[in-house]
Amino acid sequence: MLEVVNVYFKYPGGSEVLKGASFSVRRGEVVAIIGRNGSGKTTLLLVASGLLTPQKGEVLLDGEPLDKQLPEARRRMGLVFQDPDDQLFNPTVYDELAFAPRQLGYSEEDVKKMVEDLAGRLGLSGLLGRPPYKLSMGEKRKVALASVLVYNPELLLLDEPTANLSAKSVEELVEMIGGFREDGKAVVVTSHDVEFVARVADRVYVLYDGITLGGGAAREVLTDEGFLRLADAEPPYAFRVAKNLGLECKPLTLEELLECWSNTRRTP
Amino acid sequence: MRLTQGFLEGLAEIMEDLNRESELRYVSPRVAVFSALFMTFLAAFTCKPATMVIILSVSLAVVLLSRVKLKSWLKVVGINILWALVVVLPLLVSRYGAVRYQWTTLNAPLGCEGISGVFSFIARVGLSAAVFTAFIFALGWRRLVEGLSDLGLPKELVFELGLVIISLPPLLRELSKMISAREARIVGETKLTGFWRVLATVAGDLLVRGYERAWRVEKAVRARTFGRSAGKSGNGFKKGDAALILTNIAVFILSL
Repeated sequence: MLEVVNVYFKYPGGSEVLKGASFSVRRGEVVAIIGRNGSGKTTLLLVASGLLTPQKGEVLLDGEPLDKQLPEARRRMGLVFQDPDDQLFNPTVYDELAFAPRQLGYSEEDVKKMVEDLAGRLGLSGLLGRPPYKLSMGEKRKVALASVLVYNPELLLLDEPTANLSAKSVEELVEMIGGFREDGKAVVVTSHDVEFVARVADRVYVLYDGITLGGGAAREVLTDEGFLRLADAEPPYAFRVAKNLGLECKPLTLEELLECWSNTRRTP
Repeated sequence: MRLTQGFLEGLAEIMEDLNRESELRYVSPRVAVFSALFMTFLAAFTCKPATMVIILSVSLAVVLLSRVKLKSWLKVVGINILWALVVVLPLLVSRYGAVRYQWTTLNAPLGCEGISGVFSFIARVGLSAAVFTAFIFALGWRRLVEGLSDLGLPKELVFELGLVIISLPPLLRELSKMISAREARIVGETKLTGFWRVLATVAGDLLVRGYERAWRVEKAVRARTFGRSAGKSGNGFKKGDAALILTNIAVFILSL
């Protein structure tokens, strides 16, 4: 669905942030981009969403250059910023959620129905009249996500979605991303939280100093310690435990580790 | 520093207080904003005591009917009067008209013209502030922006204005936090000049942070803009509109 091919990007007056970054994502797939702080993950998402124009390389949406499809193509994409305070710019949560549907020409009555329906599903009904900057970080993140989910985009770009989230909120997010995959949406997440990536991603790319070093199936990438070191990361906890126990499997989550452990014990 | 922080917090609180639903439910934002601007204009240029009294009565009626905090309203009006007083004081020693008293040490004449000029100026400034803030306090920021939009102000300008209004309380709070962070690192005894020097460093920091934040917000707005206007549908005529329009006409006729 979206293909970012060998892009280079430099901010005016700054050094080159992206020096040959690439990734692709298909419908019904979750792709994660991991890398240390300052490796260019956020800039890569801004380029992928057409908000920044790369100096070299191209961004293709369904095989066609993205810049030729803007701004209409934004209707198909939903970008959730790392800091929700940057994303929320309306006076109330209601207006925040209604911002996109109003542009799409829905009547105020339909907009109200859409907003209330989504708020009900995400547990935001009690917050609709409140100003976004008065909410807790977890609530702000939910509102930021809801502000793009309300127009039902086919592609979701989530920048560090677990930053400053409680364990409970991370659980909810993991479930939500699973739901997006089932709905056939394409999801791209940038993160340096390997445990989270291990639970949601189908494929993983490693970004190092603006260059995509490579990518592949989540299990292959997340269990390659040398490769992960470049992203300032370690393999998931479950894999490290399995390795220390001398198990041959490569579990990414606790559930997989338990399954692997019980299978090993059953084997004579 | 405590004084500066207190001032910033107070200001943020007033801004937040205005970010609520309108108390003028029976008046459309368009007519209310028009009335606010029209009466402010009349208050600024009128010299007739009767018109002044009526405009002041309208302001009080708006404040009382819309359950605005009287103290907050009086505070804003008071600050405006104080400011006007500072600006207008030199007018007292005007050399126009008959001199009633000669201030010998300064060789400055005090005359009727000057005194009446001072009173007239303060009354007009105070009245303008009173009627405008009464409507704004009653309307709230959101309805004010809506009203401006309904009056035909370009959508882009209205949107920018809305953004500024929303961003002000967090900006003031952030400023307060920045000052606290600096204060926390002053460990020795510091003179007042030292405090001011530390406070001055906030300005540059705020500019850089403000620019970076604005850059990201602009990206966020563009990410959710699909090429069509995000305006709401216009507000219809409400019950109280006729009464307010009639009041405007009456005050206008009286001021002639």
